[in-house]
Amino acid sequence: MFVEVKDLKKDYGIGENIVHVLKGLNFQLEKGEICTVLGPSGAGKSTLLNLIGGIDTLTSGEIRINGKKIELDDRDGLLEYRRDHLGFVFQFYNLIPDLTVKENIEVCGFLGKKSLDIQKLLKDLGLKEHQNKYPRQLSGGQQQRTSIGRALIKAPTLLLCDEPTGALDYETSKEILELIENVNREYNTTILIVTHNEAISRMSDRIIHLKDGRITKNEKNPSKTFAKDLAW
Amino acid sequence: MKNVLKKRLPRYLWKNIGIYGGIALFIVLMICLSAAYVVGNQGIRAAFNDTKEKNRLEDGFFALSVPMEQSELSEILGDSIELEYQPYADLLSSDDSEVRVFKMRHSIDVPFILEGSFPDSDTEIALDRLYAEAHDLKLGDHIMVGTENMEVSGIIGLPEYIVSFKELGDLLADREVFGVSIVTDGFFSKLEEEKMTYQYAYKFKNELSREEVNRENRDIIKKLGDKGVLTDFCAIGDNNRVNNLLSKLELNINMSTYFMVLSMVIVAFLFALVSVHTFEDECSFVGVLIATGYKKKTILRHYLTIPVLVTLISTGVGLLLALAFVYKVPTQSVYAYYVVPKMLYTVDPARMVFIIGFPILAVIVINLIVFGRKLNLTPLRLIRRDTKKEKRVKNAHEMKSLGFLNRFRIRTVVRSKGQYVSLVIGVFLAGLLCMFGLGMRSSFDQYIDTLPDSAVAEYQYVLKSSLPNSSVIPTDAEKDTISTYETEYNGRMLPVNVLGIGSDSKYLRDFNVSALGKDEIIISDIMAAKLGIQEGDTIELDNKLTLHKWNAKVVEIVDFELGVYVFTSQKTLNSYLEKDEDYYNTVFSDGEISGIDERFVSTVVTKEKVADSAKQMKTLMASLIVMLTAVGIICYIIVMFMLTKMVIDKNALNISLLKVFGYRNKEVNKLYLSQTQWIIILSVIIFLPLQYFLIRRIWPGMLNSMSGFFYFRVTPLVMAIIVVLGAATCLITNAIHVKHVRKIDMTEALKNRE
Repeated sequence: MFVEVKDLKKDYGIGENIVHVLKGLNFQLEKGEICTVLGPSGAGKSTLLNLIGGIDTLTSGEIRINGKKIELDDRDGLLEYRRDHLGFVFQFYNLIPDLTVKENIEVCGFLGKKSLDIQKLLKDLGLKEHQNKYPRQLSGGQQQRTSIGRALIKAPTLLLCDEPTGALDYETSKEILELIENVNREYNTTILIVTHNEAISRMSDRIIHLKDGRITKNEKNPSKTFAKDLAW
Repeated sequence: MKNVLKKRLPRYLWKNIGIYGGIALFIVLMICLSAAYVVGNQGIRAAFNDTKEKNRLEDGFFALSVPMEQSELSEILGDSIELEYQPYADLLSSDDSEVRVFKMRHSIDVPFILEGSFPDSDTEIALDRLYAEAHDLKLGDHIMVGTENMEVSGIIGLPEYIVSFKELGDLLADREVFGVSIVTDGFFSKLEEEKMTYQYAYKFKNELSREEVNRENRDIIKKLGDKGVLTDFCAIGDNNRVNNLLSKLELNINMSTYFMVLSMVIVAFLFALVSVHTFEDECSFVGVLIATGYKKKTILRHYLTIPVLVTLISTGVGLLLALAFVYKVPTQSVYAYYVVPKMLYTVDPARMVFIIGFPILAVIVINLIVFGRKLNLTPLRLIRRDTKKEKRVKNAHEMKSLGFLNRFRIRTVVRSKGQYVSLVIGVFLAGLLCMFGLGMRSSFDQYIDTLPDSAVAEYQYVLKSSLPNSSVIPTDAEKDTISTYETEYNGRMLPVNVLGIGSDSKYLRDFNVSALGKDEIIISDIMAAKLGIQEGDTIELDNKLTLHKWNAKVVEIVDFELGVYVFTSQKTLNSYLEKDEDYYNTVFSDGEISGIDERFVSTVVTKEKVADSAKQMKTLMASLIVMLTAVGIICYIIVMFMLTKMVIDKNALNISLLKVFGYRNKEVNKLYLSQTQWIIILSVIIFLPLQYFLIRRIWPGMLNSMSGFFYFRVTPLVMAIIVVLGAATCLITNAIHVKHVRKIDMTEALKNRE
């Protein structure tokens, strides 16, 4: 198994004010799988993503990536884990406004031990002619493409997408999902998408339903659909 | 609704405590110290003015070779002046110090009592405070004066001996060797005639204009001169025993006012930065408030509340500290050198209104400008943070030749150029304050070091007139003529030494005065710098005693650090003074000249005395120098801290994001912090000459009240201190901020990036 999550719990607050956000999650992902985590607001989707992404600490349980346990109290280890294995795509792109498209992608390329060819990536992302533009000169879709490019440049083994189409219109959302699908196909990247849009889950290999901090359903998708055929 | 917004204020203040705390500390320090100097010095000036009035300070004095009856003098001088006979004798004490003994005065120059009482019996004496302190004499102690053992009945001051220079031309008042005192008429009458100086103080009965005073003084000299009895004369305007204090007080008040104005410019600048920072942070929130129906006025008031309160409270605290305690600090250095009555605690309402009002007004105006203009934007633009006039955005230059790190740094700087410009301006202003403080000290030090070397000769004898027997003067000594003229300077009359150099000058032969026409002069560079005169300019010089008016053209400016000097030929000056061609009244010599009748000597200036006087001046200015240095440095550190913090705060979220991606702290430093450090350090270095040039320009204005002048000089050490302080502050601030940035929760960073 590429990703193994065992009895994962996350609490916020202390004493009487304690909130149990994740109440013992267990699931596994295979290498190269696309997995969608579905759930309403407050279900704990983003918290799960942050824990797997190594940017938040868990209360108990265990996360293993490629058989290796993530030690959440080892700051340096976590940093190396994020640096070498992870790519992030956020709902609000989080691009650095001072940098051009190409430079925003290079921000992560600078970190990778085996960075991809940036010109090829720009071409694949349809950003070649926009590479010298600043984020504010781009549409939402182009910005999200840039953000995906930034995540991919260092050839991550695990791509974490937090509501990647949440800020985009229908057509652009589909374009972005196609792009994610292509990344999965071309680079065999394991992808974990967190969303509340059920339609997106149809393009994934596995669907996990999360509600109130618990997994209510964890199933293989028997009828995986191409992103271009999705509709909502 | 309004109350809900108000609830936010303390939380907002707490969140930004670093910035507002820094500004508050800056204001408290700046207001406290500058107000203390103003209040302390004004208090002493008020006390002096009060004494001048109540104790009836003379308008001048003269000394005669023989005592004359009051009626006889009145007949000669007319009835427009009031006279009091104030003879004195200089008596030796057991420790070889000299005590100038006066008898009690009743109508002019009435002494003021500081402790105890005036002498009642012939064995009692009242001593001037600083002499008593220097000899550790208290009330009831005994002192040998001449041959008499006297009991100290009082500690006093004489209005015309605020600084007890033994001779009027002295540069230094040394209380170990000279003091003044009051004794009874009985004691005085027992003194030997030959020790006596027959001095008279006079006061004009009517208010007179400056010209009228000069004319009257001239008449007194002429009338008494004609009788052949005048041995000494000094109008109060030329009396260094009194004027020295006023110029020192003015200097202190001037310096602290300059300092305060400069500090206020920095405060206004800091508030402008904070306002822009706040607005950029909160503009979407402001947009939402306006969209939901809040009036712009309400929002404006909301954002003005904290800056105004912070300014008001810190100004108030600074002023209270100044008025309650700190004002004593500057008065101590004055009391240490001048015998003045206890300061009259006076608060100048106009200045107080300025001190309190200016910072408040500055913060209100700046916030109104920053917020007022931006609040006119539509709520939608505010919500979208679209607050800047959008220029057509051009594609970025690729900068292919540069590596990623350098491109990243350049982009960050270019994108945040507004902030970096502010940072650079802040560095400039704070550095200016720091250089002002540190430079004061180094200027004094260099002045002291170089002044003795600039003396014309080892000895300069200033005479009351030519010696009847000039043969006592060695042939290698030089006989010149010196006179004091005045010229108008910033609305007042500045004394100018005019030196008439003999044709066979040995010491000043480089000054080619023989080639000068009658209305041409050479001036010292000090005079040129102080008055802002250039070669070719014409200046008007007035001689108060001869009433000679001289419109002279400056043909050359020469290096001469001793003071404000005009050089001409002795022949020319003698003719203007209506003296014979061979008249002289000053002698320069490499060795001490024995045999000059002391009665003809006004003062003897030696290199050592020149050095001591400069040292004393530095001692007098010590507390001001320490204040300016300390506050300059502290303000420098505060401003640098705040500016660096603002730049880092602005980038905090980007820094967090990089950490999410897996950037190491070292790498984050390279990308975000190193350019800030370099910009600060480079600005600190690059601005040094500009700051130096600017202070040199305003320096003469600061020394306005001094009759002399010295250059503002900054040593390489001072430059190095400024650079090291700037760099160290910047590095320490960065380290503190980086620690803070490290603590930012990465998940929070992601949430807040909307």
